[in-house]
Amino acid sequence: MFEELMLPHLSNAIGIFLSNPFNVSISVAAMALALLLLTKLTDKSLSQKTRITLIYVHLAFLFTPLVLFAVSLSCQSVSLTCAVTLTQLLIYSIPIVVMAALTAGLVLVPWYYEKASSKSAKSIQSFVNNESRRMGLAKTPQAFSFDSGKPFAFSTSFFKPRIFISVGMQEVLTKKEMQAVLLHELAHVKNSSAWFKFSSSMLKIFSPFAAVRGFGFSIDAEEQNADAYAIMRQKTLRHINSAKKKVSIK
Amino acid sequence: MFMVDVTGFRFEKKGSKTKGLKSVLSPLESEVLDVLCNCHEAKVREVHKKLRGKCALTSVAVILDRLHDKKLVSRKAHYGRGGQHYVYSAKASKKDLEYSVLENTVNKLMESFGSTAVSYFNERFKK
Repeated sequence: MFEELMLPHLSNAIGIFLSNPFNVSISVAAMALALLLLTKLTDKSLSQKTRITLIYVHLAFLFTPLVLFAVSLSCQSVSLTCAVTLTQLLIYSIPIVVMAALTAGLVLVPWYYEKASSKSAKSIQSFVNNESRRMGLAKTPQAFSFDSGKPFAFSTSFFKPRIFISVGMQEVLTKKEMQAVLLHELAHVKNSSAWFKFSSSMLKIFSPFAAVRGFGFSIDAEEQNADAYAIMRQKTLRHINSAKKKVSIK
Repeated sequence: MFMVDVTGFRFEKKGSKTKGLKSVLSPLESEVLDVLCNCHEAKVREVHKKLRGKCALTSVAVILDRLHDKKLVSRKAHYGRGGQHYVYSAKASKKDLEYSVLENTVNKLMESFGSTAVSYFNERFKK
């Protein structure tokens, strides 16, 4: 029933959509711009924030033809009302899913981790304060102690920078190793790495072009840059290497 | 009496020579639990020291976290000089834990098989 109603209606609607030169020109222009922005993303000289912006503008252009198509759908007969609504709903659901994933990834997940954490020890927070001042960070990240015996650490940089270190991590690392990990995370905060990593995964999920080009190198480069900063500050790679051997840091 | 949730436990395969709690825990989990049962409470580094380098410090931390997830040990977070750390303690003595695993397993069998389980146990223990 659904297919009988939906498929002829959909092919008819696509035909009507493509017969309008305005729709076609806008869609082609949007896709061309999306592709252009994607090729720009490989430029390593761009700042991190510019690259993040490019990802979302790329996604917006990518969805433009779909949204335009959904808007152009109209009921041609009373019996097709249900199919039209469903088609529009399916098409609109893509940007809605993107928005929901953005909210979950950038707001809800950090919020959940913050709720499950307590404030970190004064020695850790004062080290973070001093180093962020030295780095010239606009906002000093708050360090949290996450309630878990498994050793891990990560940072989030959207809206309010935060560094999470599990209790298990604090138990197994020496003071110098802990400082190396904090420096690694501070470098991530400065480069908005968490936001960039999340945006890159959104790009991989929602943009078919990204799968062809591949953007894995950027994430590896983020880790290498963060390690390099810790090594530069401590003037040795001993501590970051021994910390990495013991635990996983992201 | 202290009760252990046995739903996540798997008994060793038939023919295995392990006995007691070792048949439901991994060898390292069992050793770490032994250390905790013998001392009242201990930090990760103390447990690691008592194991005399049998495994890495990180492995001890992960194993203790796993035992905590299985509700076999309890922990309290404390603030120290270098940050936070947990102080772990076993929830019950080793004997009580074994009793608890047995009781829970029998209860589970009774719940699942009802009268069949009762008649089986009658026949089995007559011998």
